[in-house]
Amino acid sequence: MSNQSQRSGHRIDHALQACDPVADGAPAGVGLDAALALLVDTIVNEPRPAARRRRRLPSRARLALALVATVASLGGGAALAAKLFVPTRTGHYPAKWTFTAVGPGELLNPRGTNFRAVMRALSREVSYPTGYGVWRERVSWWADPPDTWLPIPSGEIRGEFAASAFCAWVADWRRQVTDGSQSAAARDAVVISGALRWKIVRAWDPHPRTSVPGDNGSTHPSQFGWMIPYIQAVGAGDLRQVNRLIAGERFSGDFLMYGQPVPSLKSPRVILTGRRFLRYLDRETS
Amino acid sequence: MNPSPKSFERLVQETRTDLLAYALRRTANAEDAADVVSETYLIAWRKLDRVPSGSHARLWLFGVAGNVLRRGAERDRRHMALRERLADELRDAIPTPQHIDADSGTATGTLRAGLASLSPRDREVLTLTAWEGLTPKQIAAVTGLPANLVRVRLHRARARLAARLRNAGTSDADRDDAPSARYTTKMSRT
Repeated sequence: MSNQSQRSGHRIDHALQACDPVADGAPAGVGLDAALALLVDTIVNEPRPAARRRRRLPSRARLALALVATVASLGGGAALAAKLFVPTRTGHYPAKWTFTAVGPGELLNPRGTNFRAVMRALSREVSYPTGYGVWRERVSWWADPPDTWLPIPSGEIRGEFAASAFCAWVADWRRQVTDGSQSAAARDAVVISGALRWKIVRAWDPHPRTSVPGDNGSTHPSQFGWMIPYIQAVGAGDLRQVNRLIAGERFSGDFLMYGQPVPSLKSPRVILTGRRFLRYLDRETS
Repeated sequence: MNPSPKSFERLVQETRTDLLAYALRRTANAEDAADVVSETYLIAWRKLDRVPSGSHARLWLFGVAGNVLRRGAERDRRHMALRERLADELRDAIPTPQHIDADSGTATGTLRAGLASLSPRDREVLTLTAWEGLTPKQIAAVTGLPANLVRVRLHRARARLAARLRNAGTSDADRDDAPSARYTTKMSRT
């Protein structure tokens, strides 16, 4: 994140702090203490589900297992590595009501030994234009290091790749139009026009819309609804409208690219969006 | 965490202020906040051996409370009398929406409306940052997303809110017809 966007981020955070509904801290008082104490009293009298008791192996079996482990460790690293393998796939799926928050798909263990390989496999669900492979690689960055112990729905990962691939196709379409390569631009436009039929888009957001109701009469685009204006502008061959959308406000937030690592910045990566992204794309084209 | 009533009491003592504030910021009224707090602690009691120790316990509880909020109507409605008592105490201890509105300036109203216009995902990372004071790494522990993805979301959410505020312009800034803060910032229960 650039210094400028970090500064503006702080401004937003400070402004939000000023409208914190509990700005003076959580309520306190003797009555509240008593009510909470009663609640705690009642809760601790609730039966807890019995903890599963691990069956202890008979001593002979334990001895045999220890021997096998010793032999395996002496026998070579491969056998030991196989023993230490932590699977990424869990075989569990989130409840449907959580889709809007976390995305659909199998829950994956980010600390799994093969998490990055699974992520790469998921990324192949969508294609990138030729020469944009690095965009795909950079999306994988956010899973490194795996600093959460909670499982991640595979849809979250697939959705991030789908958004990134969509932006790459639009970026390539801009380049082809600017270069006057009509046939290549037409090919890109076909891919872009089909983006709403991509597997993860249909699974997560079967009815994408540019405007869905939020709280108090507000609206926002559905999960992939922000793609629609880009698809329409590309379909109409309207480069200026695409530029307006990238630099604009309502549909520019999801149109982004993960930049190169910048070790000197606190946030290790630059995320390009809005006008800065447009300037970057223009530089790449020229 | 050791699953004993004593360690549960300690957990409640250490986290009650933060959890109460979390619930009040995201619910429409004291009843709903009391519901969220009591159900979150009920789940914590049942899964006490899975609650991480130290400062991570608070993050774990935020994660559970977030799920309780999203689940909405399906909440466990047991111990109604106790919840009502907790709600009564909360109602007495916090300013009413009218008080909040009266205290609000027009800029605050515009900001609340802007925040309300964001998607629940955007609002979650923004409010966890600004109100709960969490870092991306801590938000990762609450939401179960990698910290770097949280950073990306935060970046997007800030950009969107800034854009909404710019769009609101001065004409809208003069109006403060946004409902109370707790209503406006209520998380979506979809």
